[in-house]
Amino acid sequence: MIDVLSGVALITDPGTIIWIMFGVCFGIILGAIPGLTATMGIALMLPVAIQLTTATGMAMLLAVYSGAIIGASIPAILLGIPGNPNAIATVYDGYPLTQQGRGAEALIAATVGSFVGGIGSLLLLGLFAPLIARFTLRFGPAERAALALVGLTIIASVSERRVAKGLLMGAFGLSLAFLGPDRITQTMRLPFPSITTGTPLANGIQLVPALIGLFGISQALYDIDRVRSGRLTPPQVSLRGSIPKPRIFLKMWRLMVESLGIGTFIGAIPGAGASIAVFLSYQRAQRTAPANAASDAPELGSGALEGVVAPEVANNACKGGSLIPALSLGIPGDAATAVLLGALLIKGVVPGPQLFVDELPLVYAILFALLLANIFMVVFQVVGIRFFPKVLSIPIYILLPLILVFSLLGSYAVEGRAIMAASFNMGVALILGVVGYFLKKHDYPIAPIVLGLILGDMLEQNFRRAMRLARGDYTVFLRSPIALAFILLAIASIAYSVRRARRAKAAAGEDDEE
Amino acid sequence: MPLVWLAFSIAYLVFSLSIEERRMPGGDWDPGSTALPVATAVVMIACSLYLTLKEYLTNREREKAAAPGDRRAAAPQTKPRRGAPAHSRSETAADPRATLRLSMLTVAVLAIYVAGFRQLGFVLTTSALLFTLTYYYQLGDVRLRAVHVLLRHGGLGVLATMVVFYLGVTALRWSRYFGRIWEVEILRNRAFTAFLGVLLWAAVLLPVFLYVKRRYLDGVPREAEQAQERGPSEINERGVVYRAAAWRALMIAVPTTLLLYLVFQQLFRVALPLGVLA
Repeated sequence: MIDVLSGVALITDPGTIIWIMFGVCFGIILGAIPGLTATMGIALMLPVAIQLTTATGMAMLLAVYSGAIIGASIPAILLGIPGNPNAIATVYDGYPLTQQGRGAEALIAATVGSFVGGIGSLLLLGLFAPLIARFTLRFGPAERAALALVGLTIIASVSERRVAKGLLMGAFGLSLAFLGPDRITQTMRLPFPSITTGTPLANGIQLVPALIGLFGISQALYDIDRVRSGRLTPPQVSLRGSIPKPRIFLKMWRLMVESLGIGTFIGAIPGAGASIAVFLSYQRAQRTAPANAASDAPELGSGALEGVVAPEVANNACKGGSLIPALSLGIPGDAATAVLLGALLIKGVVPGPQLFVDELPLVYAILFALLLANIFMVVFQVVGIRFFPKVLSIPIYILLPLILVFSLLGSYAVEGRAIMAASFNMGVALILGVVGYFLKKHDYPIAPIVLGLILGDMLEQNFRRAMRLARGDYTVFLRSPIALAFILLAIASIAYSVRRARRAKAAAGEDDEE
Repeated sequence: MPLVWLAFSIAYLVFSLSIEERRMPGGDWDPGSTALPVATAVVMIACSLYLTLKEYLTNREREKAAAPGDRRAAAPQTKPRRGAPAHSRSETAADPRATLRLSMLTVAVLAIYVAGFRQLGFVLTTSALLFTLTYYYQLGDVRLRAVHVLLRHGGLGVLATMVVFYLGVTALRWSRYFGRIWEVEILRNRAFTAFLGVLLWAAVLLPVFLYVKRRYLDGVPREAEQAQERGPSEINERGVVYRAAAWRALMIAVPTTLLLYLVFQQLFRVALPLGVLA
């Protein structure tokens, strides 16, 4: 109890609270700019954090982390451009809601989802950190390859009725992921190697510029035909009338709990990334949304609140999840937590099992700082909801050029100070933007490309390592209970998606006959 | 479209087969560096073959279903036919040709922006890009007649951005210099100097913009009416509209470029190239 109180005392002085508020604000602004990630924000604030006490510095960095995650949902909902890769699934229902004039409602749903995910994962972190950390240590190459396979099967569900097109796009994403060096043997996999070897393409295609191109630039090009109508979306309804009733969210409790579990668990697996978690929870929402019937548009993908809440819960739960191996084992769950660990190490604090013995007040201080960051995140988001949708009242002749410039500068900013590679990223974003525009015009789903790009590297490396360790025995994936469970999940996921697609086709056929 | 994908998939298969096959040291069981690319190419070929076949069969069914001699009815009608009445056109896009021209202009301008970003620098390229797009998006079409206004006002806009930018950057340098000489920490702080930059640029630009608004924008409808009265020439009236659009584009491009520089370079420490300004 004394440790808890000491931890709380470390955080509750006014100076620390102001730093947390600043961190959340900074994070929200950073996250809302496509291309600027939470990792970048934490790295930028690292020199400031070092000047502060360990608890205050960590509190401020965690606030930046929390703010950047919720900030990424703002452009995803209002403009259809995810602020970072973890907000991709939020676009599916968030942007259609905005197009229906319900942008404020979607932002509130995202805030509720983020709060539940943040606080829920915090509780799980406090209660089960050592247990979950020990379990995730059992993840070897076979288990990780099977997890990547589960991630790839989501292609079928995000493609709706266009399963063949979705598969083709997923394979296209994989082909992009395989460009550049083979991470295991360093073999160059480049077309026209004599020309391309010395160029930034030799490092492969980065995810963020590809994401910005496929979602941001292609959407802006797609919206050019609205230039004459003057506005991007219909005018927003007043905020007072658009606040969803609490019972709508209460009805989603099961979906939220499931997404929380998915997010925390995936977040705790080092290197798995929140992108898989958000798609898995979105897939979960697809199955449960019709039963919930909580919103006016229960069909996911056409503006259902469940489609915003589920990925946002999972995305924010990953934040707590990634801290589990970081604090209890000293293994960072993702790039952002790696920088956080760096901050701790600079301060002379060594993360690992001993941290829970030697520095227990600091652990509680970190947990309490996350709690405060989540509360401030909700406060700022609720205040901001009055102003964020105003961006849509900007005339389209101003908004579209701004989106295009922000998209290109966002893909440039990923590289920070390497001008040559950064300029190359702009080219990648532009080319994929044009490709994405044509794909949209011909009704090809775009999300599978991103899934392929995210999971390609993870699948290949772990599959090859697993095969080598098992001496070429393919049954390694069936002998490991975790890998087997994932493979069964992948099969079930495909079977469900195919059944759903058939039902949807049959229903469409009936409608046509009527 | 499926045929394009089929061609791409075959090209990717050829490329995958040409990759040097390497396995990890001592790893005879490693499937190698070409295994997954080749598998991906095979999946792509299978999917694109399926889609090609499906499209072919759908087209054939549609042709069969249509009455003989009425082939046009069988074809999917994505855009209104030539000579269709105006009301039927307005049900689809406002003007598909204008949209196509604007799309082509956007892609071309973005490509030039990306190509020239490093050599010409952020300030010059960004202000020119923002000006061009805002100008033509206001007009809703790409008209050659509007080019001279674009060049005149665009040139003015880029020049104004560069001058104001240079003023701001010089002031920031002096601020840092005096911060160092007088040992005043805040004068060297990036956030403070960024704030100072905003104040300085606002002080320079605001009076100019207020003047431009009063002089060139407030009276646009009246001026257009007068131009119309002077003669039936559309050019007269359009000239006024073009000029107003150009001034508006200029008022958007200049401050936006400067603000973007402050946000990305000063606050988030992204190394934006100065190009010719360096």
